[in-house]
Amino acid sequence: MGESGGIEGGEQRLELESFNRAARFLRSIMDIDELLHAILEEGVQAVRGTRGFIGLVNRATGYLEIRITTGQGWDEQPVRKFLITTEPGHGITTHVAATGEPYVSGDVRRDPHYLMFFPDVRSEITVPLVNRDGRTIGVINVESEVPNAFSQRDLQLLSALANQASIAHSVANYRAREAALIEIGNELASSTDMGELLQKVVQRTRELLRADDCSLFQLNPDGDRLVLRATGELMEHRIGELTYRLGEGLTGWVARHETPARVANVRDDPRWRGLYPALPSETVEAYLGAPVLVRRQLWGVLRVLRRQSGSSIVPNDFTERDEALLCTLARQVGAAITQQTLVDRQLQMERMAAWGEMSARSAHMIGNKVFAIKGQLNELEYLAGRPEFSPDQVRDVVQRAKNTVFSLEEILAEFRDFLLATNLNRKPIDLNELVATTVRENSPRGSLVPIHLDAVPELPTVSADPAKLKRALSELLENAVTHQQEGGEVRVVTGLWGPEQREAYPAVRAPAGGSGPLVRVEVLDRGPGVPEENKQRMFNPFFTTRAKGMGLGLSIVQGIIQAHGGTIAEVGRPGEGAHFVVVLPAVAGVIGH
Amino acid sequence: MYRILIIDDEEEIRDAVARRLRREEFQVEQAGSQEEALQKIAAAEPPYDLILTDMVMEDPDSGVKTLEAALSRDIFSEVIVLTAYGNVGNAVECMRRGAFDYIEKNIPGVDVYELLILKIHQALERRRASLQTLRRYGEIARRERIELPGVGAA
Repeated sequence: MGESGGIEGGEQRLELESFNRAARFLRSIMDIDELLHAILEEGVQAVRGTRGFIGLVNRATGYLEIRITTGQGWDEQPVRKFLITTEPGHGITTHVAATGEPYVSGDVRRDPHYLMFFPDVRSEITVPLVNRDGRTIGVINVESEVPNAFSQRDLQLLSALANQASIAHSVANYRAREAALIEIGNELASSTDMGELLQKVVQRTRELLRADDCSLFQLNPDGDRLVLRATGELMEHRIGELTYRLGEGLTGWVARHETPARVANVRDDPRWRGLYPALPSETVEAYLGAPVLVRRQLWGVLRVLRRQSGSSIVPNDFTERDEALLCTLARQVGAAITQQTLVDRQLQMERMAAWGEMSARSAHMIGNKVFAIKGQLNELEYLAGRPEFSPDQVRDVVQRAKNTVFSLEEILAEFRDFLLATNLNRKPIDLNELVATTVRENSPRGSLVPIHLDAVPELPTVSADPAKLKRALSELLENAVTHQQEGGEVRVVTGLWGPEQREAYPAVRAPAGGSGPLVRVEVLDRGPGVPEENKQRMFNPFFTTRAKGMGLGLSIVQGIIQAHGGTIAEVGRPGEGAHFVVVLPAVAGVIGH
Repeated sequence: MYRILIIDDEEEIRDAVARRLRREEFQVEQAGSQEEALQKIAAAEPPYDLILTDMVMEDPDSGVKTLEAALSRDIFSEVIVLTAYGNVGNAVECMRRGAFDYIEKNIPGVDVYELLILKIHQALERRRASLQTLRRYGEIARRERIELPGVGAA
């Protein structure tokens, strides 16, 4: 605001007032466009112009883009951007954007830089918006129909307003970056999957730093190579493949020295290797990389690249503030990875605990069965040693021993199915055919509990492991039958999963992701149903209301369904029978069509 | 004839043990759950001489609860605890509280049923001895009371 000191005397009171108004406004307004608009209005009024605009430099394209306008005729003017150049005849404003020097023209028709935009213009005054780094970020332009309309004082006044506009612009940028940083922090903290987390990091960093590419490289376990872990669509196909030796290229340099690197013109830097086939070396302009440390150890490198802008005189490099921002992001990534590793370790421990429980339980159950078999053998030995040997008695004990061995095998099968539930051997299948076969195989003749099938024909194909899916369905059918000892009925329904079902069964959380169709299989019985408190935990391992088996049945079913990318839920009303809903993702198209 | 209650949630085990015990001419009853066991212990008349109980995985206190029920019904009831894999700690706790012994169901190379019969005979022997001692004390007490000067005359 040093310029305001140059304005003296009563006749300038009006200008000083308008300047102060703008200053107050600047402090009170949050919206940058509104603020720029106010500054432009004040400027045009203060220098008695007829028309004006604020243009901002787009560094990525090298164009000056009109952001705010005031005065007549703009609606009929379709051109909104100009390539920034110092060549004459391309416009006074692009000249100012290129040189960063203010410009006053009293007679535009004789001005070598003038490019006619509106026929009524005689005078023009243009001042640059310069940011803290001394870069021209835009211009304020005011025109007049009067020749020699603008004085040196007008230039000072407009420059002071331009100064305010660039401060406002910086503040707005700061706010946007701060908000984005907080958002990224929250996103990273809530991320539960490492791959997803890293992908979010590169996407957000690219947006925030307006980069053409952002990639995250991770140090391999041997500590001698950096491997591409996450990136944008340009190099997505090279994830896990593209590597740098430690020390090789700029990224390798950042890793070796654990120091950020900022290079304005990569081809002038001897460290630059440009190994990205998707980003030809000759198009890349600027490089910015920062080390990612996890618990003070080098984890990898986060780096961004910018292409050259369309204008040879508009640099598209990274600033010191960009570097500070990238370093902050790299620190956030490091913290998030630390957090994620801790969570992963926790999950690992929980899995180990589940394994421990699984082993203890199976040992207990197998031990019990073996104990029973020992008893039966003890009896056989006794019977064999008696003088009045009875084959019938022996046969009876042998039968009981066999049954015990069978139940031992059931436990082992359950154990195996639990372990292998997620190990699929997929192929395209006709769901209706699979359901029909399973129903047939589970319907013994003269059963007290008939199973009815109600299938919607021509369902889309499902990519599934038929044996596993049958195993899951059989378990549901078997459950339904066992819960209706006195007789009853089981109904199996197939169909598409659409908005109607979604609304009817809000408890079913349909599979997320993928845009393909969804299909459903429902199993309904007339048994006692599932009490509300068991609806969730009935799918936990070892949950059982029966003495038979290990209580892995439904957790195996859930494991199989989830491995297929599907979901299962029980939606029946307690007391009115159980109602299981299985939703599976399908692939478009019907087998045989 | 001695009355024995077998408690185990697995029918095959109850059946195998019951058959072996009947060979010894014990009178055997069964309970398939903790609840049923407590009911039978409370209702038994006369009380069971011996109770053979499994430690249920779902309730680590099941052995202790059965033991307490048995002893409060008849302080000289004998309790033997059967343990499957991993429950020895609880069985030892039962012994501290007055169980006769515990037997692990799966001892490699041992016919646990014969071991069980041996333990049962030992336990019943102890019960017999205890009851005999009790009877003798009763007799002494009666005699003492009679011989106490002034008591009988009063």
